[in-house]
Amino acid sequence: MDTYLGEFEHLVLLAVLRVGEDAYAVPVRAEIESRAGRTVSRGALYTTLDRLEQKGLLRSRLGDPLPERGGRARRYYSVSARGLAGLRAARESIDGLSAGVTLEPKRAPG
Amino acid sequence: MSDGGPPRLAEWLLRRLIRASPAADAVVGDLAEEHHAERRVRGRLGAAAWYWRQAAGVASRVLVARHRARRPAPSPFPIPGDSFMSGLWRDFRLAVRLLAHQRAFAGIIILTLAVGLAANATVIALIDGLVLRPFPLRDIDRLIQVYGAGPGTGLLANRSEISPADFVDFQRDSRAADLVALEWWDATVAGQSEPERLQGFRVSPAFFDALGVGVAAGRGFSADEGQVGRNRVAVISDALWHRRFAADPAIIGRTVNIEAEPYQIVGIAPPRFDYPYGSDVWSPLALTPEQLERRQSRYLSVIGRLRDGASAARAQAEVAATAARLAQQYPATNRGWGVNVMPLAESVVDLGAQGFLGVQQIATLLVLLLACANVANLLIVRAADRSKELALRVALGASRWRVIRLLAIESLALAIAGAAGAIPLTWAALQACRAAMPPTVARFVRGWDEVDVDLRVVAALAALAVVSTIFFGLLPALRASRMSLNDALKTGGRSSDSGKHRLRNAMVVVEVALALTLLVAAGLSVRGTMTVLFRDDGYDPEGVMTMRISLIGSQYETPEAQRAFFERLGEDARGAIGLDGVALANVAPGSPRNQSNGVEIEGHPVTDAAQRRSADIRRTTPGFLETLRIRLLDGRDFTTGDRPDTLPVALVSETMARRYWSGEDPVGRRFRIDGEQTWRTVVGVVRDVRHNWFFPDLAPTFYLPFAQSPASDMVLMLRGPGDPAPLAAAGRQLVWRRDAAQPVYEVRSLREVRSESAVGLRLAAGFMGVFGLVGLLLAAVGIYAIMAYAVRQRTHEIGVRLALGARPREVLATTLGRGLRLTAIGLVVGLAGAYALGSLMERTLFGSIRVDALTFVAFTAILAAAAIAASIVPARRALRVDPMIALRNQ
Repeated sequence: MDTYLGEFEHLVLLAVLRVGEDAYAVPVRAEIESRAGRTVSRGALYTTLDRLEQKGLLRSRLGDPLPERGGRARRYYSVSARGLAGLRAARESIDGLSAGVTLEPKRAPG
Repeated sequence: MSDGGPPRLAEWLLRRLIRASPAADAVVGDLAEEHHAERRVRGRLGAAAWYWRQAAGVASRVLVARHRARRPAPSPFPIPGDSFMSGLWRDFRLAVRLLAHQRAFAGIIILTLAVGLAANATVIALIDGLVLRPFPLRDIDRLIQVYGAGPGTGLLANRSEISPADFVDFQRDSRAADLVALEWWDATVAGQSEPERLQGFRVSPAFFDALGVGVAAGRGFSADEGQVGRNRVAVISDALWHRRFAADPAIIGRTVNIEAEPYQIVGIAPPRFDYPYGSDVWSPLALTPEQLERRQSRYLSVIGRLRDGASAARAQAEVAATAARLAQQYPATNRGWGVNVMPLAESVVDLGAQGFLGVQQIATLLVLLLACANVANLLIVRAADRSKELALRVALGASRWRVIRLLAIESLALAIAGAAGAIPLTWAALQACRAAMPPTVARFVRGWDEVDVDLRVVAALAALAVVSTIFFGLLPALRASRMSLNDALKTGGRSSDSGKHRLRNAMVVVEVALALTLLVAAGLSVRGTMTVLFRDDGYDPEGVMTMRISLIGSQYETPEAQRAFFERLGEDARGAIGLDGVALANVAPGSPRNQSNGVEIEGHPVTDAAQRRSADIRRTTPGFLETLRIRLLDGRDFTTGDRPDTLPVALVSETMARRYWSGEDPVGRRFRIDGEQTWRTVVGVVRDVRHNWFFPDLAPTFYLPFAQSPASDMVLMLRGPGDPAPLAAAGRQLVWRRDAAQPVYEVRSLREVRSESAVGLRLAAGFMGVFGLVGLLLAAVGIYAIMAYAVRQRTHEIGVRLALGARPREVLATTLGRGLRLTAIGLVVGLAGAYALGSLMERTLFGSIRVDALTFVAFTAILAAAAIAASIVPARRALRVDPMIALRNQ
């Protein structure tokens, strides 16, 4: 695995996958907020999307201009093969490390 | 925002800030889309606020990310073949990075500069709004005001109004300017809702053309409407149109009742036009044949527009020639009367404002100088700390010029940041000024509404910032560049260069001197204002509520009716419970209104017109002296027995008695008001009441019993046992129970009247107080910084002294002694500066301010104490130096 995924990058890639076809920034952010239960600042999301695309983990294409956006197009994202590989590697390493570990709080001896 | 999209400015800013990002367009689009949804939930304003927040968040995030990804810091060394400009730019970026790493240091400097610059920008904004561009009129430099210049002396002697007959002659003879006349018109508009008292003016029909404003709707006045009987037409202000008539376009052509007469509204003035004095309604000035004969009563303001190619000097010459002819032709009324033509923009500036603002400007420049001295100090200290770095640069081949440039650019970066910080401070200061100015007074201050932080103010700020860079940046840079390479590298930053000490010492002296000047000026200003507000002006303003009633309607046209109304009102008020005193007078003491008249003293004829006597006139009911607690010094007060058919009597003030009956007892003597036949007998002498704080001399004043000299326009004064505020409602009820159609206005306690009359002084004192505190703080910080640095520099020496057995007290004395010596020199210089500024204030602020020794002594002591405190902390630290550590510290 040559690309290390940060935690937030990981979340963003998964959210893009979940949203599917219509994955532009607004629903991706909503997906993370509702599923992961944390608030996401728009600025952080945009810079992360940008970074992921530069690393080649995301691809993007432009949609059609829309009037409620002031005539601007949406930028739709999809996870590239490299991104999928990165996600798979991350899951494997987490699974591998999680195996046999109990996450219940340990009772103090005595 | 009207199209429902996001706030345009925010969107534009966002787009510009993140335009380098590849997804910029999509980001802006996303936010627009979300804004669209937010609008439904939050409403227009809420969504706009939401958008601003989000745009700021996104932009800062994107910018930070980009900055992090940026290439490393620019090289601090010259790159061969680099152009001059890009070299400058690199130095600038380097300076910003350097300062960003020293946040506390840079923060203090930027804050200091911001305060100094903001003080200046605030006063510049006031001067710009009040003096340079007092109101939004086209070609304001082509407009003139014509004043009469009377034979007297004093503040207003050459700013007299013009009599109707003189005006007609001036107007006819003038070729250089088209002159128009204005007369005050207290217009009460009635009908539809409660009666409202408006500021109105009767104006020559050509008024709107002469000012070049025209009307926004309807028409102006035609020439024939300047005739008696045809002038029942009016133009109303845009503000009144919105306020009272709900911006109904159908108002034009309708008839409203003004002063119980029907007026047809023919036009609406352009928005924001309210010349003069916040006027709401204008009607043609129609002079009756009798009025056109009058040269004695001067009550018209005359303004004019210069014709093409004509100069103000020519207009002055023409009008002066006419005035000279009139003086010969009508010596009884016109002898000694000339004219005074000045630009309108100059004439509308409040007489006090120029001096007031001039003093403020000097004070703010001192604040800026002080800030610069402080910053220079910090930079010198830092340059000493950086001596090794700079020496290394020189050693590696940097020229002296190159080092100066680097330091100068650092200073410029600081100044720019300071100027940016000054903008919100200036805005806040102007808001505070506005809040402090009561609207009743602001109305009379031309241009008050225009005062704001605009591009001109920002440009001035930028210019000041650059200039101050020279002040605070140049000296340290020159000094740093001249250091000896050898010394800098050899010693541990310990300097043997006594020149550096000299410069720092000079800075302490300058700071103390400037701070003392500011503090004393502030002290004088505050003391002067307190004196005006709280001195004994001959009457007791506590607990008295006043309100003005101007009878309107044909039923009150006769003196009998006026007398009957007000006497009954007085009786009603006296019958009301809970009042300690009730009186009526034509003028409330301390109010901006006044009435005066020429008088003739029996047995003391005056031959020369230039020595004509005049006095302020007060029409009062019995109980006036008691209600205002004005002392009767001699004779008797008015009684209910002074009736229209009994002997005409009067009371006179001490000053009138002294001036017009010098050496004699005035009681029993008689005088006569110019233009009247009746001789009035003086029955008593009362204490002087100071009406205008800004006139150094007390005006001669006489009092007439209201029953013998009724008027339609009176002030009801009610004294209660405690807070006068609740008396306002009671007074209104009393009036309206008699006649519900009469407006009651200028409802104010006597305290408020006095406080409003001195609002300029209060503002000045507020400004000066802030400047003084800032000065004190800056000086203390500056002294502390220098002393702390000096102690740090001498750590080694002190350690040696202590190790060799010096007693701590001696070490303390030498350390402290130096700071105090410098402080003492600064105080002496500062006393001279304070005396100079104090004298200037004494001259420009109408003597409300007196240079007094107490203030000087008190503030010298305060500043000395602050200086001692600021030096004692570092000096004590010197004592705690452990000799071992100090000696090892090499």
